[in-house]
Amino acid sequence: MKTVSKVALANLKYSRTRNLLVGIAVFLVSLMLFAVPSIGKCIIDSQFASVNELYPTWHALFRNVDENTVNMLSAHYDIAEYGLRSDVAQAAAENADISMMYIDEAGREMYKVRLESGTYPVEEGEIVVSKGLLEAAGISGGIGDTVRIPYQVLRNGGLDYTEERDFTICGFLPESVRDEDAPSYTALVSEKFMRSVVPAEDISYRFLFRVFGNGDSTTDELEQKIKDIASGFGISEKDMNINGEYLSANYVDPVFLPSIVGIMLIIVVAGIVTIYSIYYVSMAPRVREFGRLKALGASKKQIKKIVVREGMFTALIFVPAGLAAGTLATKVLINVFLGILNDDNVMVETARALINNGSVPLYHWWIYLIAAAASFFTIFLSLRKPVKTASKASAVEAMNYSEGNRKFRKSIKGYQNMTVGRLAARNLLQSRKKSIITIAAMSITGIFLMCVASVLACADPADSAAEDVPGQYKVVIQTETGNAEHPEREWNAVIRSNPIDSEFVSSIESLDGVEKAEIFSQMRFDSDFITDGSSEWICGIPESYKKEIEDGIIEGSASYEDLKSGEKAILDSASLHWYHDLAVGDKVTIRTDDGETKAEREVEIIAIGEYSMGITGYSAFIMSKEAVDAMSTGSLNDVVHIYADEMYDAELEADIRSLMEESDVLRLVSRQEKYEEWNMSMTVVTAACSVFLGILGAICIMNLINTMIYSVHVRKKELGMMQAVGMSSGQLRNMLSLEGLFYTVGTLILTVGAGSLLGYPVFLWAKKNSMFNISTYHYPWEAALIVTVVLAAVQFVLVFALGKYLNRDTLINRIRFSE
Amino acid sequence: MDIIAETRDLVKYYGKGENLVKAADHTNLLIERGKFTAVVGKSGSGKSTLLHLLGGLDRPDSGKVIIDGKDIFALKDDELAGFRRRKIGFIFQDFNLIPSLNVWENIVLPLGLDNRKVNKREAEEILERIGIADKRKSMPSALSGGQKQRTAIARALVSNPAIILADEPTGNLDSHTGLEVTSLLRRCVTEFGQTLVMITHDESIAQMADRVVVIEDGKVVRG
Repeated sequence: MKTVSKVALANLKYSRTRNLLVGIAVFLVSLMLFAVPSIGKCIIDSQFASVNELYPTWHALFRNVDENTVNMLSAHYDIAEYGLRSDVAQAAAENADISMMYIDEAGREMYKVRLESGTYPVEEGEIVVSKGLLEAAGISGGIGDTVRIPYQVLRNGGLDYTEERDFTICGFLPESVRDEDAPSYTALVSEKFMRSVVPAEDISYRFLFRVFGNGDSTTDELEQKIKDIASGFGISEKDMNINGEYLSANYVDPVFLPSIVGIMLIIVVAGIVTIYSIYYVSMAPRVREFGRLKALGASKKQIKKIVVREGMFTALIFVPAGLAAGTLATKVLINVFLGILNDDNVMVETARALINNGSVPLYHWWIYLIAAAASFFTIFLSLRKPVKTASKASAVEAMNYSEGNRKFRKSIKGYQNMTVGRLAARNLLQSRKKSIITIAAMSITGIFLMCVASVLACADPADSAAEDVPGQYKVVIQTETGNAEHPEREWNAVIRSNPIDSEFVSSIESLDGVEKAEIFSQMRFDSDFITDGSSEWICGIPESYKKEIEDGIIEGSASYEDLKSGEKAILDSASLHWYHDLAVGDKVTIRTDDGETKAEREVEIIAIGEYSMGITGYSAFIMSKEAVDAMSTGSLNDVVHIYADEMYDAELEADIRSLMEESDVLRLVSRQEKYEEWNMSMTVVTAACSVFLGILGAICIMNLINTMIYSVHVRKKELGMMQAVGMSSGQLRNMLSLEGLFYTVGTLILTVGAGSLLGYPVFLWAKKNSMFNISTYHYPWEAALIVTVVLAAVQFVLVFALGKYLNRDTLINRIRFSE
Repeated sequence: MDIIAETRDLVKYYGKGENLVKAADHTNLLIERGKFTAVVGKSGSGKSTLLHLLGGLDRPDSGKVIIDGKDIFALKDDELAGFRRRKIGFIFQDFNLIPSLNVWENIVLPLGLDNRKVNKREAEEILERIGIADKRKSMPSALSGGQKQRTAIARALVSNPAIILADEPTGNLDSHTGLEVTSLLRRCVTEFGQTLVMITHDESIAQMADRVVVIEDGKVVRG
């Protein structure tokens, strides 16, 4: 072995503690650098693979397209392929939705429709069904059998009266996974049938298509093309459905790659900061040692090589170990995530199957390569400073090198009396630069940790659920448009015999456990600012919410009194997404039609407010309840928010349900079910973030450990001296504790202080981007507490261990100690 | 004879087998109060070990050290630390000052560790006497060897100890400064009745002592 390598190897053994610390940091860095992209890739891959397995292959569909438009669209130069689907009728079944649709051959390809047996319908009377469908409709039969099916044809945007006819079963669709509570089935009918029951001018297609693009196209580019086509044909955003999941799975998502690279960069930076700081703190004796080597004739180049090789030897041991641990961690964490995820979810089930049968590989050789390269790069960058210092200094300078951080001034005023505290303060003050580097290195990681924790703390499933359901339950009216068989479900009809009346509410209020029930109203309106032909709503809020309404105003001003006139309204800020031209001070003309009376009035937007969906129910305008109620002779009551003394009570829920039984337009939503939905998705995100932050935190703690060990190691003699002149072990421990406390408190002040301050803007950013339904700021107490406790515990253990370490050697040996 | 310190059958061996070093081999020694005792011997004879054992910096394999009537090895570590800061003053060859403290702070450190307030007048007097009054704010790195050793002497004197143990205090100094420092220590004994035990292998310095003890292979062979 060459001398240079021998010296490097000898150094490696000699500075065991330091190299072990660097090694642990390297280990964690390479573990993370491997596990983060592997897990990320596996999750995305399996999701994409499941999408390709489950999702249709069309890029987008346009609804309500007539034959004429179909002809024009099919000739568009950006459209590569297209298919057609038309929902013709709804078969009558008691507890299931059976839609009868026509899909052309290209459409069937795109929807991945495969028959279990038989052929597709061609003749007017032919139909393809599934076993489940027959069961739900209470019919039995096989291929070639004739069955009589009652159905309502979709005409003029609604369901017509029930008709009946005989169909011949020509094929069977495989059984699809269905929702037990609201099963829905599909039956395929022929084009001839469609044309026989729906007049040509009334046929409305879903135009399914793929645009031209290759694997390098970004999802943004394709989406833009789709939107351009839509706008060219005057197709509104509401009539357009982009198959985002399929696009993301097959084309380049411009956001995905930068996010993974960003996370990896954070890890590399944390690694560099930590490893750099570890090398920096222990540099002085190393520089002296290199001085000696220089005096013996080592060239600059050789010294550089020694340092780099020592670092690389460390890396050669710990990078493979980190990659091995990363390999294991990836497997374990993926299993944990899949375990946490909901079993009922088809996507999860498919993803799990794809991972388990090896269709989605967990490991990729290039991730190993990138992680290893990034780890080596981290060490190499961290080593630059000691290499430079060591190779720059002359032999004599280097031999006499005292740490840059322990250069003492010639004289200082000093204290008249010395105490243990003053001894500690003096040491820290004298090594200011080192103290600052250590604290800064730890705080950078800490602040990042607090920012992420802020977002996670704000993404409270309880909050997100409360956003949807302000009380513990809500009963909402669900109307239906255009069902000829059920005209009573039309909004116009519901307001004439509204099941939400004072009797209903008082019977809810009389239930055990209900504290109060509040009724909100809604009025439908039309206005010129609504350009897509749909309608909007005004929400009437009862006076008891006066404070919430006034507190939510972010622009302009409005009192509850102002909202009583019916001429002034608050605009919900969420609506600005659709109607970005609206502003405070605008006067808009709204047209209302309750089926009996048509009215027109001018409404002034006097303020813009930010409210939860639970309050506004997605309405654009907010007025007082009495103002909204006055707009119709019917009852506009739309939702009852029920406040109960317990967060959830199954018995109470059953009681409310039994009160709702008489009406089929009421639906109950409990905050509990919303909470469970949110909790489910947040558990996964929180678990992933916690693992990431935990490892990042561990890398950062290496710093504290190194700084304290090193500060004791270099002062072994000095501390021995203090003991020789009478410092007791207790006083020594106190002194070290105070020094450690300085690092801990310094780091905590920066981490918790700056982290908390920065956490707020990060929360606002997350809120603005509607991340995790975040609405309310929550201080990340848990994270702050964990950071504090972990730092304090590490410091406590360190001081104890360092005291032991010092006392392992006799006092006299320590006094004689020289590095 | 007024005895301030005594070693009884003191044993301290290092190493094993062929490498066995008998640093203290059943050593018996009496130190008289208010006298200057010089301990001389060849390199490796066990002088330093004897001094360290006398000062409670190291523990013996067997035997006793009695200082001011107290068996110091019967004390627990922390009690011994307390005893050291009140009763024993150390002066080392390489000064062993705390680099982060200035001269004054180095000197008053033993008092601080004992939770005693500094008697400013007394400490100032010591600085004057030792001749470093103008260096009180200086950091050790800004001092010459002689000044450093004077600071170390002042530190040993400040707690008014029963005995001062000096381990070759002139070893790192030139002969002129070495002589000055020894004279200073000698004066402390003559004028203030301090007890001083000094290790040296400088004959001229040993001659200034009241008594010379010769150590060979861990045993007192003369004195």
